[in-house]
Amino acid sequence: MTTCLRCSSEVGETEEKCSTCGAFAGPPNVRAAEKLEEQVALERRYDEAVSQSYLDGSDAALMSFDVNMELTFAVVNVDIDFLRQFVTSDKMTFSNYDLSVKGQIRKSAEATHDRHRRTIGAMLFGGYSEHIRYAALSLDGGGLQSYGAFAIKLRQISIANRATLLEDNSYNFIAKHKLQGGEEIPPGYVAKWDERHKLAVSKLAKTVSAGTSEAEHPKILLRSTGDRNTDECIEVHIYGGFDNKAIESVRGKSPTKGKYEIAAISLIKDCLNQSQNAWIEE
Amino acid sequence: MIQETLILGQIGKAIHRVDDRYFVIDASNQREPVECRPGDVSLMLDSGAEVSSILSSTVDFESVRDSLEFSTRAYRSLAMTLGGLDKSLTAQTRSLCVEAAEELMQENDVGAFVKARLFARPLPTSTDVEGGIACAKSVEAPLVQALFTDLTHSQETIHLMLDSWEEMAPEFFNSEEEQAAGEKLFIEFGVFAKLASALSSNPFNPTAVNSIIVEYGTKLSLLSVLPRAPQILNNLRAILFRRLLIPRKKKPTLKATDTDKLQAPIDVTSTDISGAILNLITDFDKRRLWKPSKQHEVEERIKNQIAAVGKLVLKGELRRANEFLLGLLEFHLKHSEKKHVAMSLCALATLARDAYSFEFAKELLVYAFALNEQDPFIWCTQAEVLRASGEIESALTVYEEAISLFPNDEIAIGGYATTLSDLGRFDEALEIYEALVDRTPDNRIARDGYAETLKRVGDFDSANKVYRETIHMFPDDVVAYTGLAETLKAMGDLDSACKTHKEVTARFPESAEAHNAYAEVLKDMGDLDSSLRIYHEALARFPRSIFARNGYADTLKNLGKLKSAAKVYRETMLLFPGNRVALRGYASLMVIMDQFEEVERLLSYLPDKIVSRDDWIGFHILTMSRMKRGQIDDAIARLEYGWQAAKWGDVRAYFGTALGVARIKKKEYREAIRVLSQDVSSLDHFQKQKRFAFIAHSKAELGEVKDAASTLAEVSVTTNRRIASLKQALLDRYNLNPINAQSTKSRNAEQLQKEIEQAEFYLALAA
Repeated sequence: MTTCLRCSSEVGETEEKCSTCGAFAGPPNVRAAEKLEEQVALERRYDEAVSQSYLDGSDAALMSFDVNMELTFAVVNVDIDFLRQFVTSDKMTFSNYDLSVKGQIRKSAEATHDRHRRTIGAMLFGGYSEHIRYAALSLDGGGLQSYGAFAIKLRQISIANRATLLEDNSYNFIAKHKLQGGEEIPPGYVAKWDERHKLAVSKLAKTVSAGTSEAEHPKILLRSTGDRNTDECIEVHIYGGFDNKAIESVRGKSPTKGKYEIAAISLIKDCLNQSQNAWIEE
Repeated sequence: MIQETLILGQIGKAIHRVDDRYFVIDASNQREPVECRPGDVSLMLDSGAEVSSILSSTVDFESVRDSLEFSTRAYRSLAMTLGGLDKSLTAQTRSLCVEAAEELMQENDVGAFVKARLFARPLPTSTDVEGGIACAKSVEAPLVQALFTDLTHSQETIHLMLDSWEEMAPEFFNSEEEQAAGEKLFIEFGVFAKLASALSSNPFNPTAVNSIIVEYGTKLSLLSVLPRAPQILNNLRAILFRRLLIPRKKKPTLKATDTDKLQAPIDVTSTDISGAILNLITDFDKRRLWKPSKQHEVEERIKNQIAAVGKLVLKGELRRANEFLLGLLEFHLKHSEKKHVAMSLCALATLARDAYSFEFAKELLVYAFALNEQDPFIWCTQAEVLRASGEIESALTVYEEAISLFPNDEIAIGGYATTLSDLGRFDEALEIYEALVDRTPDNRIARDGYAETLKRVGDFDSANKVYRETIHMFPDDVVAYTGLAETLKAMGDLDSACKTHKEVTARFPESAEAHNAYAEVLKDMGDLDSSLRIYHEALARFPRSIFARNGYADTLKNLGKLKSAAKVYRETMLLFPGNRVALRGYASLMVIMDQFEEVERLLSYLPDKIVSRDDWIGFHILTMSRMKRGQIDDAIARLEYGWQAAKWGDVRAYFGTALGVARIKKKEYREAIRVLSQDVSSLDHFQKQKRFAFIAHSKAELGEVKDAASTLAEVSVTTNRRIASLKQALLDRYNLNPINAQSTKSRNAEQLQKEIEQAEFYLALAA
């Protein structure tokens, strides 16, 4: 339980606000990752991995991997229509003609989420699963192609205070740990954003040997197979949505055929350029 | 069976629910629907795309796909058309967009969709229709060209139509949301687009407008979702015709200068809050109206509120802390005695002091004094805040005032003695402590302070005795145990110090400080691996212990694992953003790693006038950084200043040590000896050892080899790697020990000189 800083009432673990006074208590996923048992368990896994590396003689390679894991960021893969809509959504020329009726979106979303609570997200986050957005941890800007051909790299400042990490993608994690509804997830497999390198080392130390080069690190961290069932990544959980101001860069391959596709990418690149975000050609 | 479908044509996706599972259909491929992963739905809804919902059990997968594909083409076409109009895009992109739009609009329904949208809103200023028309001409896109040309002619009537709608609609809809939904239907059915075209005709043809009203007023598909459509359309027509007869006034636009007239948001500055708090306190008696029934609840709440303010203070969020404080005091004053409120303020001031927020601490004490409570604790807290902030003479004055008001208060007397000790007035301090310990032999704080002062003056035997007596009297006094071990360390009896620290750690396993002190002594003894192990254990037990984290990083630094040390420091700074110890440790590491700009950036918080003990330490590191980058005269001036001006004897001592090294670096050996020889007797064992080594170096350079050899013989430390290796390098470099002549041959003078310089710098930096 968290104590409300304003009125001292207890705030439920899945609540973001104090139900007594409405004060913001902090993203519940971050509060969950900050629990002492989580931190101690992760620290222990991390220490074990580091200690083992000394025995294996892979300590230098692991240290290099560890340092690189601090440089990782979150990417979200999307397709061309999503990307176009996302980058133009705040441009007056485009938004002027949008007819989104907020109430309608909200109702659709609420209805959808009400039912979605019985799903994987609910097992991990309970009542606040509808607030969680998912991304993958990446070192080189590449993401999971099974979610779309274009990888949006999110600015660290836009997520650092509200992002946590899970060792695996949620589906695989639940399956691997044979978790049933209502069961607590074992400690040591989630991390705060600032400790993502510890989670990466804990998970992946065994794949780092004395001969592992830095060039191999991105692929060790994230394996995109084009199939969601076999993709491997560390999943980033972001509390709350984000808009296109959160973009730092977009990585993808420019299409060479299809008038719409070519024009849409040109439009996207212009918009990124205007907001001083980079397009990274694959 | 499909139970519900959401179509998001703007992003080319449809989500449908089958047996309470969600699947996503992608317009860009023909693949079977894929089950949604967590977050898929949220992300799609975050895109800002429009959503149309089909709630029907009769819809099949194929019809969902057909709807999605049309919707996707329509939105793509709209986006491409808008791209052709957007003047912020490059000419090439605009041309590509127009070409794509032309291709997509070959389908009649897609063209109608785009027109319905474009004629439902006036063009924003970011568009350039003329440019769009030219672009359409150049790429030979006749449909787009015609659309843009019509659009140019219809702008006036689009304004007219929307103004009329705004005037009429509130009468028919209960809320803004309902009105927006109605407007959306009119747009999607093309009502506004057709009306805009009809109204633009020249000469104006009312029959064309009437036909549109009749056409849509009888359209069953519209009536099924908006039964009042005929009345709405009739009213809209009436208003349109009236407005056509009365020329429309242009909407006033807001000039840039008008924004100045807008009321600025109220900024509640901390000064306002301070005023509010003082008012609250001074009006206290008038405001006290009722007493609570459940005292324990009140106490619990106050305790929690104090903790909340404290957390904010530690985080450095003083503005919010002040706001919370107002709430805390409002409640506290209503439900508690003034004395208790004053004690809470003092507790918070102590927290603020520990977080280096001295000004905030002083402000809290202003509130405490404003309560007019005569409690020595308020005076003592103020004195301690002043002492910590470097205003030691003022602290002494406050203690004197406290003692005159409360002559028997042991805390005030003990604090007074400690402050005298800080000022180097050791004899007076010891006299007061002796009297206090005689008068109150069971005052463990006084006893520990007395022993600490004895240690400071170098009377280690007496300090040792007092600590042992205290331990005998109070076997649970961890401070006394640690003090004893530290005294043994200062005496150079490292084995006993280590043994004692080990015992203390075993006896007080929950004391992070005990673990830390044990690891520190192991580090001093040169057993860095064991030190690292103890820190590891401490971190497992106390993962948030700032002492353990900083000590761990420092040990890594000593082991030469600079990158790892940097990582731990950075983590610690993230975990404890206001912690200056971690910041300084990191800055010191950056000096070693020659990251001088980073050092300047990290220590840019230092005030112009250095007062507090912590700021002096930061000032020392910054000075060493400048020395290392070659600014030797500047460094000497700063070290001289620290050596003279710092109020604390141990702080002055390490400025003196570093100044000696700076003089050696400048080859001013005689001056170096003069500085390094001062106050040596009061230094602890390690400081003494360093000084002897530096003095020996200076003497050797002056050719006083015999004297240098005898001074170097005083350096008895062999466990501290740096001191030991410096001693060896000096012996070799200056042939001070003929027995070891062999090693001289293996390293030349240049190498040795470099080693000596590096070791001396490191030892001077480590203070």
